[in-house]
Amino acid sequence: MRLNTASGRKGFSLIEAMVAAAILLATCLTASAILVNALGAGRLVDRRADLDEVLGSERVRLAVLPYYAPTAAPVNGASWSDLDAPSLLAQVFPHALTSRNTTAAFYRSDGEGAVFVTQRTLRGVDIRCEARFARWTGTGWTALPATSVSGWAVWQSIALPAAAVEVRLIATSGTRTSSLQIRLGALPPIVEKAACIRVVNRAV
Amino acid sequence: MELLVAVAVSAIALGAAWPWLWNSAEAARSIDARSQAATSAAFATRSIMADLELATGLLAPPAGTAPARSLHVQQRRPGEPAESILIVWEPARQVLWRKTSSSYLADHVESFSVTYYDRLGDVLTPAEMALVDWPDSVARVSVALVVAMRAERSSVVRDALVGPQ
Repeated sequence: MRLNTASGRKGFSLIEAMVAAAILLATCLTASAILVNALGAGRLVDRRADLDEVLGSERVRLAVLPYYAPTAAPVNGASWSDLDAPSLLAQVFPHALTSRNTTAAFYRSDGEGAVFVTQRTLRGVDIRCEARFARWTGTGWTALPATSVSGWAVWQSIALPAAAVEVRLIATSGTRTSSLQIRLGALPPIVEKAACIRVVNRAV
Repeated sequence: MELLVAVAVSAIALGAAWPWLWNSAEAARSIDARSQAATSAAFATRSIMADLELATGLLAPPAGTAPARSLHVQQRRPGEPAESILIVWEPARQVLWRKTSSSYLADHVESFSVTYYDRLGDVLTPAEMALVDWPDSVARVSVALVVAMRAERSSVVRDALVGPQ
């Protein structure tokens, strides 16, 4: 299907023009797909960074708090967050009393021991905090069983179940989730370092 | 006739490709601007966090510099005299500088703010910050900055402990 012009020179035929247009279209579609993927990847990185930022902020907030401070019991109906003396334990493991449980802050025991769960929102990201008392056994850290913690409350007894807590922070935004595990202690030095576990040394 | 159809097909294809090309170029420009803003913000934040990690404590910013838009830290290294590092945001020039006004950490900084928290996690009030030794009561700081490149913005919020922990 060559086109013979009046001058006798050969030009593009219809099929060739259509093939050229199809190639152009395919190139455009491919480039579009690459651009869309790049934009999507950028948004994904942004969301991931948001989660990590929030987790970092929460880690620092908890690390600064004194491990324990005497506090008065919350009056009936008051939330654990109304405790008048902010301390790490008042924030992450205020009690082991199921009768004091709320939907946003509750104690329970599972196969890994006693755990206190708190949920809050920071900069639009939901943060779930799971705290367990931990004890050094000579070979490693072990979460305290429910029997060692049950009935304890930060406002009831200065005799703490353990001098360290392991905190797992889980940040969720939409379908994205990021988590961080830290161990916070009452007394320095806590020198244990393990993969994915950030150890923060602090004094009361 | 065939020539006319071929020309028409080519014209339609090229005509359709032009706006696509235009939009693609815009999208690529915005990706580039966002990347630049994110890189700039990340670098500035990393530098500030590195300064805070090495800091032995906070200092009050010089008179005339608002603590909410500056950070003044002191660092001590063995065998060296104490060094104070001042980081200041200048809204008029939209630059964040370190030590001197000519050494930029980042430019196109649309906003920069520092929030100071005490050991119990409460924000320092203006009354508390009026005291001479207010930097001693700071246990952590939160730094928020926004870098804008063309229409794209990148915001970072980072918290850090202050002083030896």
